[in-house]
Amino acid sequence: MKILSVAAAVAALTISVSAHAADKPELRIGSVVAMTGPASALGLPEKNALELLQEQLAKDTSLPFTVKFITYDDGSDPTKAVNNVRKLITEDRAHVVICCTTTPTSMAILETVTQAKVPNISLALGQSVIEPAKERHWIFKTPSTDQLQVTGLVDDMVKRGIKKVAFLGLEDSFGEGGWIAMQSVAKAKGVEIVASERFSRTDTNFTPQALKVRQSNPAAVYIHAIPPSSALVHQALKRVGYSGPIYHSGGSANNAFISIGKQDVEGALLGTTPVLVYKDLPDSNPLKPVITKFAALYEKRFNVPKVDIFPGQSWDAGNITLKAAEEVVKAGVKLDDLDASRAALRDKIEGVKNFVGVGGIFNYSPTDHLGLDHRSTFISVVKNGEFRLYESK
Amino acid sequence: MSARAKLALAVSVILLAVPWVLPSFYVGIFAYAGIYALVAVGLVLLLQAGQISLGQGAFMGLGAYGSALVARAYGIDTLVTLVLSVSATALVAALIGFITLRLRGHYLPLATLAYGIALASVFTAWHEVTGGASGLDKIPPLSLFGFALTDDRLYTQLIWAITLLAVLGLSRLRTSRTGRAIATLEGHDGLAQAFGVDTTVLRVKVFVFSAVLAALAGALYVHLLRFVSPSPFSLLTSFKLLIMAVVGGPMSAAGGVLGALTLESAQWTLQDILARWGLSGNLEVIVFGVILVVMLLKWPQGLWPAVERFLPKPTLRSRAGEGLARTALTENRGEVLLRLEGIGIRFGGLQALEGIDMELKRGEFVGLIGPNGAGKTTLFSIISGLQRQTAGRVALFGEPLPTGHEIVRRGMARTFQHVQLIPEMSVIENVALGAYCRTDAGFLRGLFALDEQENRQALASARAALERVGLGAEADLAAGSLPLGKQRIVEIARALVADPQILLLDEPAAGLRFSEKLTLVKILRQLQAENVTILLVEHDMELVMGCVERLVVLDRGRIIAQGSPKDVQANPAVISAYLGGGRDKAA
Amino acid sequence: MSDTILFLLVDGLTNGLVYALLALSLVLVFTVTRVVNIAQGEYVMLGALTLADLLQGRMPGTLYLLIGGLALCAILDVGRWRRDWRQASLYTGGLIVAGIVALALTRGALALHLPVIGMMVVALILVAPLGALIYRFTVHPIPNATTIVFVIISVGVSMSVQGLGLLIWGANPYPVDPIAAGGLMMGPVFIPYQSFAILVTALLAMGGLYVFSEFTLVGKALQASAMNRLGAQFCGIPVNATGALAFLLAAAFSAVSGMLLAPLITANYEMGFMVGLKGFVGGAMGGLIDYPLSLVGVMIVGGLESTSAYVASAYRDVLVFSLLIPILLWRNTRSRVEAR
Repeated sequence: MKILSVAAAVAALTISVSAHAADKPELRIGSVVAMTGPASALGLPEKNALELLQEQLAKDTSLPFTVKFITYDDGSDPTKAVNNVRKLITEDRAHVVICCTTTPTSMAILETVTQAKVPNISLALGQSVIEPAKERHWIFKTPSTDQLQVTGLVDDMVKRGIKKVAFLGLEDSFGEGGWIAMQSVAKAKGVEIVASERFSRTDTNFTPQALKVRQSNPAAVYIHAIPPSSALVHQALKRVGYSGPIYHSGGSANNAFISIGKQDVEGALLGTTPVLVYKDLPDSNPLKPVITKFAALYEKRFNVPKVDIFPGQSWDAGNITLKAAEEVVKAGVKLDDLDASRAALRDKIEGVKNFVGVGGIFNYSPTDHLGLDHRSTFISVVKNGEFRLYESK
Repeated sequence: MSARAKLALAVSVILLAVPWVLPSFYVGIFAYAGIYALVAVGLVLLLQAGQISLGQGAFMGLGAYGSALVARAYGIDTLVTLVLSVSATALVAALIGFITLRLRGHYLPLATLAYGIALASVFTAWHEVTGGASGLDKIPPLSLFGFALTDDRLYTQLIWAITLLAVLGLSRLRTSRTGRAIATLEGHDGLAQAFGVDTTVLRVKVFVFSAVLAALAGALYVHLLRFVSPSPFSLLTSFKLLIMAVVGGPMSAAGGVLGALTLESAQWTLQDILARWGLSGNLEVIVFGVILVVMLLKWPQGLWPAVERFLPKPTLRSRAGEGLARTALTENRGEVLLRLEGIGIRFGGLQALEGIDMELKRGEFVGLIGPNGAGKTTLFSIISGLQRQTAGRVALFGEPLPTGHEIVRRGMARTFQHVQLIPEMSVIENVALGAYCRTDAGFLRGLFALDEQENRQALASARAALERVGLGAEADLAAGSLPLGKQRIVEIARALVADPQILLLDEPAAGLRFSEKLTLVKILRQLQAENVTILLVEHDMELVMGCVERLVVLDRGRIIAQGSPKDVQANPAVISAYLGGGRDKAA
Repeated sequence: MSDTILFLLVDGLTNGLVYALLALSLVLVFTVTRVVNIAQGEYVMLGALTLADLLQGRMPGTLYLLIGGLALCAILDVGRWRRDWRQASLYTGGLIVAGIVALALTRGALALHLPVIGMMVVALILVAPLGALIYRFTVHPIPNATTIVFVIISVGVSMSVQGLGLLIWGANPYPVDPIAAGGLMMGPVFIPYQSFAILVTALLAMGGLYVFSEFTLVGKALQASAMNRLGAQFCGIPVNATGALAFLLAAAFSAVSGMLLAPLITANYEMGFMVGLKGFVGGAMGGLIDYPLSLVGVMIVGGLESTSAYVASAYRDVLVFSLLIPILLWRNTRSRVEAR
């Protein structure tokens, strides 16, 4: 008799617990980032931001669904990226896939997410990830493109009357993206590229390339890399006697650049997302409060002096997904119906307008899966060992 | 069908059926495992030939980029581009092979590292053509005769079918004429040359074959992923493949498959387990490295030998029936087979040999003796072609002595002072190596099992030779398991299978026990009775005096006496050369 | 034009030196244990990052690695307790003492705010024993394995150690202060004082190794174990101890290399691999057995690198490694002639 009552109690409890859990549907956000391998400097901060988002959501019960994050490592390798994305889609049944850190890995998975009809938000910088738009129905991205960033910088060069620029970039896909962008932007704006040199993240000596660049007599130099190499190349340029303006990509937009480059990088000009210079933005700028909040959270949680551009990309991707999911659930689509909810999520993501993220203000449309424009691109200058907003004259 | 063949068939059927049973995510992993297995199998062959290669990733890349770029740019049928790309890689490999395979020791792996990196860097640097580091998408799928292979399951089956065929072919190659020769490439160069193996050409063939497998795997990879970029073909991949080959077990082609499957499943299982605990991707790499180390500490020979113990033994190749046709040895005593005129050799300031004149006539049994340092071994190596003299001439059958691997074909075979048997191979297979110069089934015939009759004949000759020397019962034992005395006799059997007119024996009695020496003498006397011409270098005086008809005595690089044993023993110059005369004991 | 050539020459030589200590380490390990240590570059990374931590006033993660390794050593030797408990207790006691000393030393160094040289010594004391520990875990159990097995094992070690580096220090670069900041202009080239420090250290190391192996008993014992392991054992040489010593010394040299290099390029978790590779190429030019030739080898690598980077930077790896092959062919014929 006693056993029966205990069993009944347990059964009742189980039913009530599962019923309670069944109250809220589950949104599954799958991500694949480069936690190891050559792109880990970009991928680890992205993973951190996703972790942070997960922790913030655990405290927040206002959403009409629970959120499960599943994150894998692709080791900066396209094969692994494809396999992991497949796993997310078929085994883990993710609603949205956030992937991947680099351009080649993001390109490799295009086929997979398109065929499986799963919305994908990429964290890569390359323009080819989202263009041509009609072939990228399911793919969006949150980082700014190299094109946008470089355009802002070249505009400044033109304003200064610079006609000849030299390019120094990493030989990996990050640097290559910058080169492709620089080539097309320079041509469009009538600036001549007089030298183009490459180096690698792990190089120990950058002087030969710096010398070649200096000997080509450019009026400006553009370096597309991440620290330490971006700072070291900058120093090498100075040492071989180059004294003109030096521009950098958003890859240098972090504290390591200054702590490595020290005095030598004074005056460096960086094309960047608002994350670097939000403190100098007017309070009326809608980006400021959003970034301030994010920066405070991230810097405290991960004990870094200053957040760089990469975590914001995945933070925005996650938040855009959440916003879209809210609208999807409100429209009555069941998250349990994977096909329908995935399609609905895609539509809602595409419909995102004026979303204030950390990387900029997003406005997606059927022909624009980048969502950002020049309002989200800034130039920063290193002044007195700090990044300040730069006003182009 | 033997038990082992049935097992192999069953396993193959299972592997081919797996894609239809697994969920789609696992099919993807299984496909890539198959691709790596294909390269690993080729790498195992390289390792068996004693060549460590860190450039297989680059060959994969050549195959991949070649096929992908041409198909993408010109819309040519991918089957055609695949074949073209693999062929082009084979040519590149042949070129690289001829240049680098003469390198010895550490220089060879370093060279493979060098061109591996150089080629892989081209993929990144030449971005106008290859798409650079960002890669190129829109690579067409593999289409076989108009049928586009977009179904992953079918594709995976194709990959595994090719890989299993490669394993089958290479297993078959191992027991063939070429396989026996390949076994001599690592550390037994002298042996290989002495029995007619052109080691340079064979090394290149092995190298090109493994490059072909790698290129094929690369092309299959790129038409599956439909995307090409440089990172899968980097140095790290070459390391990964080497790990697969070594962990799987470099002794057998199946080891390559085992290694690939083990490593891939270990990697993904690890990711699964760690993901369940919410741990980061970095931990995977750390744990994986530890697992790798532990696996090799436990199984330094690789996993395959541990697995093979539980498998039924492979069937032995048939050695029934008639052996290869033998040349009849004529009775023409007095015919000069080998003539040395004024042979001298100089090493820097040392004149090791000077003014050596001697002849070897048909049917003679000649002994070459002398105190330590007299120059016997040096003279012997000149006669057997391992060293070139600095003065004088050697004439074999009236013609100048050819170099290296040509000598045995002219009819002169030898044994070695330090026994040169392949320890893991069976006795009969070691002896069958002697038939290399009398047969001609090459690499491809061995691979495709088109050499059955010739192989049977060679083994039959080997069997007959073993019976001739009284070792018929030991035919299928591992050569390394025999005592030294028997090993030396196996060497004689091997030399006999080369059907020589002249037999050169280099200190065959060294290190033998008394009873073993008796057996040796019995065999030598038997050979003499069969009209085999023998030149013997020895230290053991008792043995030499009892067998030979004529002695040549060397001391300090010159001949001090020639003649019958009785005459030589009484010769005062000989006696004083041996420091106090009398009979010397075994050295 | 000639200015540029001179520039590239000097630049190449000084940068080749960066790999010199690593080449020496590889040669040392190989000549004593016949192991080609692919993981040697990781000690460069450990040395650099440990120094970075110490200079910033943090407890270096290396300490935990060391203590963990010592603990593992004690655990692996558990079998000895049954056989000879006296010796076992001595051994375990020694390990515990070593751990405590390391901890105390680090704490003390941080509290005293030692200058750069002092911190380098402390970092060396923390990193060098890791070499001996790795020997204990990977070579000691299977001393007679083939070369290729050791190569693969060292790849496994490299993976794990690099992964641990990423775990402990993250992917970010850490700047490190040089021994002496600044440099001087030799003609058109700027040479940092740090580079001179590297040159001097490399020469001292080489000289020291030469004197050690030719003139001391321990050094000769090291050589003997390399030439004939069994024979050396018969002579009473503890071959396991010599192996561990070689690994320890090699780790020390590599760590110093990392500490000297870090001020030039910053310390970060992946710096080991490339330095290791280039050092290996340099060392292999001398067949991995010849110290002076390794030095020449790394200078050649440095020279090739600088020149290729100037001529066609996108193709510099292609050029350097392609040009390596004729050099190898040349070395191969030379060593064949020498062998005869």
